[in-house]
Amino acid sequence: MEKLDLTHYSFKQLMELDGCTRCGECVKWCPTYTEDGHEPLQPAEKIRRMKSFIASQYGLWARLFGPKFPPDKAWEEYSRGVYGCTLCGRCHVVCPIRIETRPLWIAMREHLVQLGHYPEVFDTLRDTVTTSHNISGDPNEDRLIWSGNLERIPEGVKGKEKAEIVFFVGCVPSFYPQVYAIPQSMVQVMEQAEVDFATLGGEEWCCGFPLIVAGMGKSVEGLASHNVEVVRKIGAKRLVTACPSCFHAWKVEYPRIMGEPLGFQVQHSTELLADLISKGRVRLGQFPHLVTYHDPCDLGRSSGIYEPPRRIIEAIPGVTFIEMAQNRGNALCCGGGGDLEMVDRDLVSALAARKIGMALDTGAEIIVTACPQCERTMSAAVRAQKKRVRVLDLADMVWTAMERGEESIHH
Amino acid sequence: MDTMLIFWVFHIMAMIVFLAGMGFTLSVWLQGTVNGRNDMSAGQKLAFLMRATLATLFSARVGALLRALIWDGAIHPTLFRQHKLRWAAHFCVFGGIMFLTILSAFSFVSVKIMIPIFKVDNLFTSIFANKDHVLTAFLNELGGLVVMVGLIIVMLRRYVIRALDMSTRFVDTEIIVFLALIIASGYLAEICRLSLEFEELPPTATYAFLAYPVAQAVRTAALPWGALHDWLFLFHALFSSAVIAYIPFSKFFHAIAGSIIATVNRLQSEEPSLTHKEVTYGEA
Repeated sequence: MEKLDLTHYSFKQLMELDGCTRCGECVKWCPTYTEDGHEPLQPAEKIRRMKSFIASQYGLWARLFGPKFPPDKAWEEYSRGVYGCTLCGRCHVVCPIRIETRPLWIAMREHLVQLGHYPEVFDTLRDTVTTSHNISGDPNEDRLIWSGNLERIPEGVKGKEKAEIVFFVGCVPSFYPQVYAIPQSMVQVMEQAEVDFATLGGEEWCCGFPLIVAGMGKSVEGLASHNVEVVRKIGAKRLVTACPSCFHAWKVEYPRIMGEPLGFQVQHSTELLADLISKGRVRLGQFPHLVTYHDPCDLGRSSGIYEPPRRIIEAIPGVTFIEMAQNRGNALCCGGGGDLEMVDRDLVSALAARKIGMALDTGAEIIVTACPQCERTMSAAVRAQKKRVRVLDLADMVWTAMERGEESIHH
Repeated sequence: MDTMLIFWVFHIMAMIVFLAGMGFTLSVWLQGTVNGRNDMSAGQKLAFLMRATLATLFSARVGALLRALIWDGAIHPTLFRQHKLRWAAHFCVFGGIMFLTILSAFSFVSVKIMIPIFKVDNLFTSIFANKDHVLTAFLNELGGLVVMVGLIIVMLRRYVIRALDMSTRFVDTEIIVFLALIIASGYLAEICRLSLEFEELPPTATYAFLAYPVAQAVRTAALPWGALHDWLFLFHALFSSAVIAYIPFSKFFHAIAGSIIATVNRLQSEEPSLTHKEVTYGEA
């Protein structure tokens, strides 16, 4: 067996492995370990195991008496811990030395993919995404199926040759009916606000984020270059997406993959909506509900966007907003991230149930979020638990408030 | 047998092992990518990192670097916010050891360099050359006490209350035992010295507020205080040197790597973020 290839890690990440104090703060805050209780899931334990693998090959003992390759069983246990994670990044927030855990876990996944110790289901995901260009395996031409039952399809939906903004819908809102309302609301809001936008239709390919977090980032290059090329062709100045994972892929991963600036801005839909509201370009009606907000991990902790969603909520007349006990950087993950759904659905359900419990503690009637995957995950938990609370995306809430505004004018 | 000769031979060897261990660890880190690239030799990566470090040191960011090193690397405000008792334990042990190390360094410089070589005999050197000076006696006792308090909290949490988030492994116990041995042997050596020299001690020796009362109580015992002091001091010094040599190969290393990582991560987080700098509002 060849020696471990440490080029999956950066110099800093290898240093971070040695910097871990095993203080256990990350363990206390880890949502998956709190639910599952299996030691390999502990963030600090993943670091300890990787350190021991490195030591078995590069440690003093290994250099004096020869390296040993860790047995398959050790890799399997380790793999379970590394893939049994939502990549929520809360461990980074509470780490006394602020180890950048999320990129570290992804580097570990890339390493495991190279070693062949990863869940087989990701091979299927890779094949599906690279051949169908979406995560569901549906024909990619059907990407606009969500627009089918709109009363009037806004001009930008069917695509334009040139537009100021490209609205990148994302795979989940395109192919999962539970969250069709997100792109439906977004395009109607943009139309009302007279935003010059276009969607990419079947030319939109999966952003590749699910493969990046699976440790299969190398398979994303083709997807990234295709997507960037079609957006450039439209001459858009800005790309807007309602999916925090797509947002993160476009904002952070694509410039790295392409090795150059994209040449246009990347915005999350909450930033655009907050802007439109602040400029008075949308008219909001009453929305008299008690609302709490769930910070999606990829939008909050990973991308630093905490305030625009809150500005939107507070701008809607009639809304009473209440924060959950853990919010912003400390927000509890809903369980929908890190491709965990493909590895351990039960764990995802348990995490979502805990999240719903925390939201219900506020007394809110509506849990609002800004992520299609979070909405799907939490809605499923609400249905499973038969709780009397609604889960809505912010775009949906804004459009509903706009419709009510229009109705009140007509009345 | 010259105990100082034994100490210095051992200490120099320990320092060589420590430096070799650091180089060894660095060689592992250098297998990782630097600046997203892996098409560089280890030497080129090291040169790149050195340039980046020097560029920060000799820039307007040096203030931010020092602040991050002290605040994030040593004080750990995140841990303070999360868990006060754990922070207190860590601060006592880490801070106490750093404090004692600085005091020892001042004493060494005064006794072995400034006074004999440069013939500098001023207030600073006279304080740190005299173990029974008010400040030296008091500060050394205080440092030792702080470390002991920290270790007691650690041991109570880990072995008695078991209020832990992770299971205890050998590496966790090892570090506690080693530190306890260093502190205990240091105190015992000091008690033996005070017992031996009790009649000639200046009044300021009472500022050794822990060792002095113990020495006062035990000095009449028929024990070879001089020999005991020499052996205990030798053990204390040799064991401390051995632990220094062991740092790069043990959990002790987190004190170095963790401080650097905390500093680097703070400085990086203060850089204008990729996420925000490109987002502008109001151009739709």
